[in-house]
Amino acid sequence: MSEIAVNMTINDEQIEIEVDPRERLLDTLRERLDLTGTKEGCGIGECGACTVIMDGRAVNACLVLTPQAQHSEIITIEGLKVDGELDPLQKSFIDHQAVQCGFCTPGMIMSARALLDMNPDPDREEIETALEGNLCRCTGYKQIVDAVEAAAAEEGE
Amino acid sequence: MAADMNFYSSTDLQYALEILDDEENIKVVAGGTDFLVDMKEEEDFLAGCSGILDLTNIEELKGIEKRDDHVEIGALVTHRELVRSDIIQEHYPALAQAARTIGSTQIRNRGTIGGNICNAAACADTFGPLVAFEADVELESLAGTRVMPAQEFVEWPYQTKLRDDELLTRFRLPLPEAGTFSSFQKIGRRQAVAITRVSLALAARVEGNVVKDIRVVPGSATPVPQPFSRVESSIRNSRTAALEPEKLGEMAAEEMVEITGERWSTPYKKPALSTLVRRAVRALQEEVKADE
Repeated sequence: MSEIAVNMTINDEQIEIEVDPRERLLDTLRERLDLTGTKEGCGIGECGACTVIMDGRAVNACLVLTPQAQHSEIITIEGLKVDGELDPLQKSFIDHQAVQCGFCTPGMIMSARALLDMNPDPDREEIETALEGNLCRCTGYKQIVDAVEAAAAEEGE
Repeated sequence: MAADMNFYSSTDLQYALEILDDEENIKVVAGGTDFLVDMKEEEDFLAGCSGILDLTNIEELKGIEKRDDHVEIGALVTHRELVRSDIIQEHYPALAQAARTIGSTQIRNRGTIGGNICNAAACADTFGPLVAFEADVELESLAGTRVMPAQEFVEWPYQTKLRDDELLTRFRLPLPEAGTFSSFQKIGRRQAVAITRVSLALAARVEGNVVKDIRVVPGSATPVPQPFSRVESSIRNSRTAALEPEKLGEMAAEEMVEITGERWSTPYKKPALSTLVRRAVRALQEEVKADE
């Protein structure tokens, strides 16, 4: 079997890994690197549960072949906590009860993180656009958008 | 596990073309937003395939460049880049609007215009605007370059004129003349991440309030999106204020049925297309009025 050596930076850590060319980034993260915070929902780019940040942009990890991530910088939900301190978005999701079953939450937060990294002061419509590829079947979105809005305000202070 | 599979990643167009020329049964991937869906949903998608060629690192296929009389869009330009490009917003608003409605933020960050056209779904949102703006596609292989109208390139749903040794490298869009207005409308099941049920690209060149040139290209209405010539000739040489949106909408629905025949989806698509044509004509009338 031909395996491809892939070098990536994942959550600030340099990784080298050999994968089958057909392997999805989602499977590399979950099955080989034990980064199971990234979830698989639909596997076809519709639900956003597998959203990670790749070179600064939110992407569906189920729609990236791992060899395509060669030399990329990937951030997953596990990469947001720094020195035991939660990211402002994570805190805000808790404070606003934007979590019910929690399955969509990592993807929601990664989409929101990618937005705030590029646009620290988004309006509500921009938040909704950033999250339009993330489905939640429990909470009804309002608390989620509220949480992102509040985190943006807090980070802006 | 299936048979051996090679992975080729090229930063160089020439090298990518050489691989295509050398290797048989190779599949090409760009943004992956269709490729990985097919890989998951079709068991035999990679059957008999000996390698995957990744194009995403070929820089020369990434830019949007304005030339003397046309604009070149690299095949690897993402939907996100189309939405944000000043050149596209200024000259081809319908294309920027179409790109904005595709998938979600995550999909637009990865999916490319070249992939959208090579995949050639009847609902490919960038296709209608490209036809409305009379775009050409540029196809390259080691044997040379072919150029043809985007309209001709797509033969049937999921079927194009691309040869196995060729890559779609660029789109060339003539710069619209002064007084050109364009818009894109779409109906999906919901706003985001929805496959288009029916869409409409309209481009009109207006001179002294008279429509001199017009393209009306519905998407998902016919197997391959095409200009609706009867509707177009009813609009051409009319004063914009004299256009009757309702009537033109009904006419478009009739023209669709003439092309496709009555299908299971026709009772839905007729009023849906009529509505989009009505909206697009009204938008044109308003824009022309505001521009006076």
